[in-house]
Parts: sequence; C-alpha cells; structure tokens
Amino acid sequence: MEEPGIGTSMLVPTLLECGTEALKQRFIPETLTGDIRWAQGYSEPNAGSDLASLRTRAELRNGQWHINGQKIWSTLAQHAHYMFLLARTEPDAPSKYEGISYLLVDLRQPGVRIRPLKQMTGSAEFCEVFFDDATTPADWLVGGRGEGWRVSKATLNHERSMIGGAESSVELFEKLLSLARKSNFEGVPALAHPIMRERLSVLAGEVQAHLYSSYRQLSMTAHGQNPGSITLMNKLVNTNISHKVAAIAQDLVGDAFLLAPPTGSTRGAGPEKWNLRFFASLGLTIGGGTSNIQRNIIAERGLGLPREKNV
Amino acid sequence: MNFLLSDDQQEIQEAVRRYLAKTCQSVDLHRIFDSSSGHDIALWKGLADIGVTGLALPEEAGGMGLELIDLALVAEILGAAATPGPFLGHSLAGLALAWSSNKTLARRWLPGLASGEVIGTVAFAEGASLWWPEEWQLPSAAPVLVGTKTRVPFAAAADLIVVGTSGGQLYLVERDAPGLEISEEDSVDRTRRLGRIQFHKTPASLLTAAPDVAERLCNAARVLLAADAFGGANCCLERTVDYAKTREQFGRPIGAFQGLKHQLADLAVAIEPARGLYWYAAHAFDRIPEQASPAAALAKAHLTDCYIQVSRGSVEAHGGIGYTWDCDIQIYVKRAMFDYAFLGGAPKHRARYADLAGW
Ligand SMILES: Cc1cc2nc3c(=O)[nH]c(=O)nc-3n(C[C@H](O)[C@H](O)[C@H](O)COP(=O)(O)OP(=O)(O)OC[C@H]3O[C@@H](n4cnc5c(N)ncnc54)[C@H](O)[C@@H]3O)c2cc1C
Repeated sequence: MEEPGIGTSMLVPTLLECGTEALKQRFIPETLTGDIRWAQGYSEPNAGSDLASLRTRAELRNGQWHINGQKIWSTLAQHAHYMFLLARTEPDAPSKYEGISYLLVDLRQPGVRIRPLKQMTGSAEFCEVFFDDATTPADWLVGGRGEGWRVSKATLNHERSMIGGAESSVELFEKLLSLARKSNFEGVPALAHPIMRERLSVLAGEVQAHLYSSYRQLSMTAHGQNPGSITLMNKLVNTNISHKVAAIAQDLVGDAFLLAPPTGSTRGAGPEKWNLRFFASLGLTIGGGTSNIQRNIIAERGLGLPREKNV
Repeated sequence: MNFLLSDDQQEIQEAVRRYLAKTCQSVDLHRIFDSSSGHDIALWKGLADIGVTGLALPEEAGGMGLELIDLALVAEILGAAATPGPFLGHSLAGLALAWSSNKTLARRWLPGLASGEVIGTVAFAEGASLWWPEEWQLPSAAPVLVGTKTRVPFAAAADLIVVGTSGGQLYLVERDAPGLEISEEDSVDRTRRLGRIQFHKTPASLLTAAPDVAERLCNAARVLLAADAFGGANCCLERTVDYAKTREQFGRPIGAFQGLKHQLADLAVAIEPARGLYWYAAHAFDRIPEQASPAAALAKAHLTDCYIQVSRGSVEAHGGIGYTWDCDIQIYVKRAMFDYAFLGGAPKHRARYADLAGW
C-alpha cells in the first residue's frame, strides 16, 4: 500500500550509525535515490517476538559468509535487491543475544528462493525467503561479529519511529476527516451528527497530542537532550490511532464495508478502499514488534517495572 | 423463557456440527472461499439433507415446521464453521413465502425451497446504506419492477428473489424473468457473495403489501446475523486459545504470558455472556411480538460489534500468521464485516433500539 521506506528509513540510519565507510559509500547513495531496494530479514517461523532465538546460520569460509536458513514475513522481498538480515554466526556464544551478526545480502543469487505470501488484504506484500548456501562478502557486516543484536536494536528503533511517525497519523486523520465530510451517518451529513463529532474529536485529541509530542522529541534530540521513555511509546500510540481510525471509518463507509478493497492502486476506488486500512491497522499491530512487546518495553524499560523472566 | 435448549434443539445443532466437521474443514473452506462462486453445491445438498434448508418452513411443504430460535441455533453452528453458502438469503426468502398472502405462490415454491433444490435470496439494499422497509424506494408497481437493488446475497446463484419495495411491500421475482440483470459485486466476505440486480420492467408477483411482514422479515435477518456472529466469534476465540496453548516464544506457550491471557479473557467476557442476547431475540420473535423488534436490533448491534472485536483480537494474538490469507482467522474477520454491515451497522441498530425502547 504505502511505500514502506525500508531502505531509507531503516537501513540508511543504521549504516550511518554502525556501518563501515565502505558500506556507507557502497549503499547509501543508491538507496536514497531508490535505485536499490531493501528487505528486512529478521523474523523467522519460530523467532517472532522472541527474535533473539533466530536460527538462520552464517559461516565464514574462504572470505565469504555462507548463509543457511529461513526468514519470513519479509515485506516486499520479492521486489528487493538486497536484504539486511540477522544470522547466527557465533554458535558458541554464552547467550542467544551474543551470537548474532547483522549482514547485508544480495537476494539475486541461486542460493536464495523467495516465496510471496498473500495477506488478508488480498495482496502478497510479504514473503518467505529461503537461504540455501547463499553467499555474501566477509565485510558486508554491519557492526562487529556477534554484535548484530545491538545493531538490530538500532534498526528496530528506526523502524518503530518510522511506524510511529506522527505525520502519518495526522495524514490518516485528515483522510478520515475528508471521508467524514463526504459521508452520511444516520441519514445526515456525518460531520453534523453529534456522535460522529464526538468520536472524531476524541481521536483528534490523540492525534494532536502525538504530533506535539513528536515535535518535542525532535526539539530535544536536536538540542542534545534525551526525550526519555516517550520514544518507546510512539509505535503503540500510532497503532492505537490507526485502530480508532478503522473503527470510525467502518461506520462512515456504510455498505461499502461489505466490499473487498482494491488489491492494486486505490486511485479512483470507492469508499471500500478504507477496508484496506481496516486490515492494515492489524498489520501495524504485529509488524515491527507486536503491541504486547511494545507494552512490555514501555513497562519494563520505560516505567522500570520488574522484568518478566527470560523475556 | 426457559434458558436451556431442548434435546431436539441440541440434536439439530449436533447434527449440523458433525456434518460440517467432515465437510467444511479448513481446506474445504479455503477452496470455496477462493472459488469463483463461493457456493459449493455438495455442501449445500448435505445441509439440505439434514433439514437446514427447510427448518422453519411448514411441514406440509416438506419443512420441519420449527421456529426462528431453531433456525438461529443452526445459524450459530454455521457461523462457527464460517460455512460458505446461501443460508441467510435462502432462509429469509423461505419465510417470506411462508408468510405470503399469495397462497398459490407459496404452494408452488415452498417445497423446492424446503428441499434446497430451489435457492432463494432477498433484495433489500438500495445503496447509500438504505436497507430497511421504510427506506425502500424501488416503486411498488405491479406487475413489473423497475430499479436497482444492491448487496443481494448470492444473487448469481438464486432461483428466486424476494424484493423489498416502497411502502414495505414484498415482491417475488423468478430467475428467468425477462429484464433481470444480475452482476456480481466484489464481496469482502467470499463465503457470502453479493450481487447487484437491475430490474428493467421485470415481471414480479406481490407476496405481501403489509409492511409489518417486511419488518418481521428484517427482524428474522437481524436474529440470524446475530446468531452467526455469536457462533463465529466464539469459534474464532476457541481457535485462538488453542493457538496460544501451542505456539511457543521465549521457551513457553504464548498463552502463558499474562498480557495475552488477559486479552483473551477479555474477549471471552465480551462474547460468552452475549449468547443469551440472540436466544432472547429469537424467542421474542417467536413468542413475545411486542419485544421482537427491540430485541432483534440490540442483538444484531451488540453481537456483530463483538464479532469485529473478537476476530480482530484473534488476528493480533496469532501474530504474522494471522495476517495471511491462508489463515482461517481472516475469513472470520470478513464474516464479521458482513454481519456488521449487512442490513446496516451497529450505530443504526442501536439508534433503532433506543427509539423502540421508548427512550
Ligand atoms: C504486515 C507485516 C509486515 C512485516 N514485515 C516484516 C519484515 O519486513 N521483516 C521482518 O523480519 N518481519 C516482518 N514482520 C514480522 C513481525 O515482526 C512479526 O510478525 C512479529 O514480530 C510477531 O512475531 P510472530 O508473528 O512470530 O508472532 P508471535 O511472536 O508468535 O506472537 C503471537 C502473539 O503472542 C504475543 N506475545 C508474544 N510474546 C509475548 C510476551 N512476551 N508477552 C505478551 N504477549 C506476547 C504477541 O503479542 C502476539 O499477539 C511483519 C509482520 C507483519 C504483520
């Protein structure tokens, strides 16, 4: 649906933070121009919320990494040129977190097989990616060997701030408002109906709060101050807003709620295109770390509550 | 009302459940969901053999002569299995004929409807979320109809269409009637396909000119949708609970995490007590006429709203797999969307309830 900016919003900041000069030069310019498209290879069938239990292996032999294993839910991997992925390179490391490295891999090689998976929206926007002795140069490593977990946290933060971007919430709200402007609710113009006015205003409070909070985070960061635990909340705030938008749109689109959303471009489509957002809000709850994982992070790292054992 | 099912009622539910456990498993469901028509003739025939197609139709027409409560109990089981097919529209068309003042038409069509050999449907919606008898604008001008109906369940598979017209009248149109143009709509719920019907001076027979019959038909629809929603939500949650017991992360079943446990408990608390809401609405329909309309409106609004919450919560609890087309849960989400929006959404029904309750 929306351009995900996997390369520009996730990989580029990570390379700037942790990459070698050679990797920066090799990849950043062409990623920014859109000539190189990326996929994110973190999740595996048995390593989702518990990402650090991942099993894809990479071994260094004759100056190359040899990669074996499987990734899943990799967004738009079927159209990507490269993938940044997490693989286990230090099988003897003392903890599951310490044996992981962050590698860049060319997806266009015989050892890589990509199978698109159809989403509930009807489009195949994520994929399974199988690695059967795929190779990548020894120095396409971001951060040191066994430091992939730390590096991945950097990417995840970028991903979550991307998903948590207040502008996207504001934009979504504006679209909802223009839907409301065009719709009837209970037989009267929706914006004239007290229930709709109330529901939209409640949501407006959340959206405006999120926007000003993002301004404040930005200003603080620009002045070298740490915004604190609020940064951990952005993704959940954004996800919650998208759910409330979906719930209101559901009552604005009327009997278009019964129709399938378009699978290609939404241009010129009727109100049933909102059903896509109804589904996408669920994807948002799950992708980039589920809402429950966000809640754990907010509670434990943000509020300082005792940690759940081994999580 | 006795809030317990009779042995006969339990037996019917059990028979349908047993049949669907064999014929409507996940693979069958996905096959029909992905098929071009969404209607599986063998599945339909099997349901007809158990008596589902004529459950509430008169015995002299080959039906079982049971009440709406019995039909709703079956709707719950069909909803639990997300059963594809024309049950909803068919059941309503049958009731309309059974209640018709035109006995010749009733005698002619009821046996086929009861046996399931003739498939019926109802044409209510006229676009712009106009669904109800008092909102119908298609002119009541016998002997021909001119105008358009939308969101007609299984319009393409139906042999008989019961059409709501201005003043809350009901007409019957036969499939081969001249001037009938049917096109399929792209339904989000592929287990219950919708179509659009245009009438170009299409011959039609009046079933009833009494608006309270049409009203009663819409109440039956509300109860059946509420029952479907209850069955679907309940089953969706059951499957999610099973999944939470087996899917492991961090070395334990995800259901061991209190966060998820509480979410699933909340969904259970939302849905389980609401069973009585559709039972009561069906019972009121059968036995307490003055309560039938408010009870049906409230049950429809409340249960279909719950179904949306429960099915969405189930996707969340499944994680990535829940977001895929191949997962059964997405089919439940789409059934929930159908139950919610068909005949008008929850706000419309809640407003109606408040009015009928005399608030
Ligand atoms: C649209 C979409 C796009 C995605 N894109 C990508 C991508 O590009 N690259 C990539 O690598 N991955 C991607 N993902 C995968 C995503 O990151 C994972 O699906 C997610 O981390 C959850 O993992 P899982 O699916 O294995 O679910 P599980 O981890 O099995 O979670 C199932 C349920 O259990 C709950 N749960 C798990 N642990 C706990 C706990 N400790 N406490 C409370 N509840 C818990 C979860 O919240 C969830 O509700 C995408 C997913 C989606 C839906």
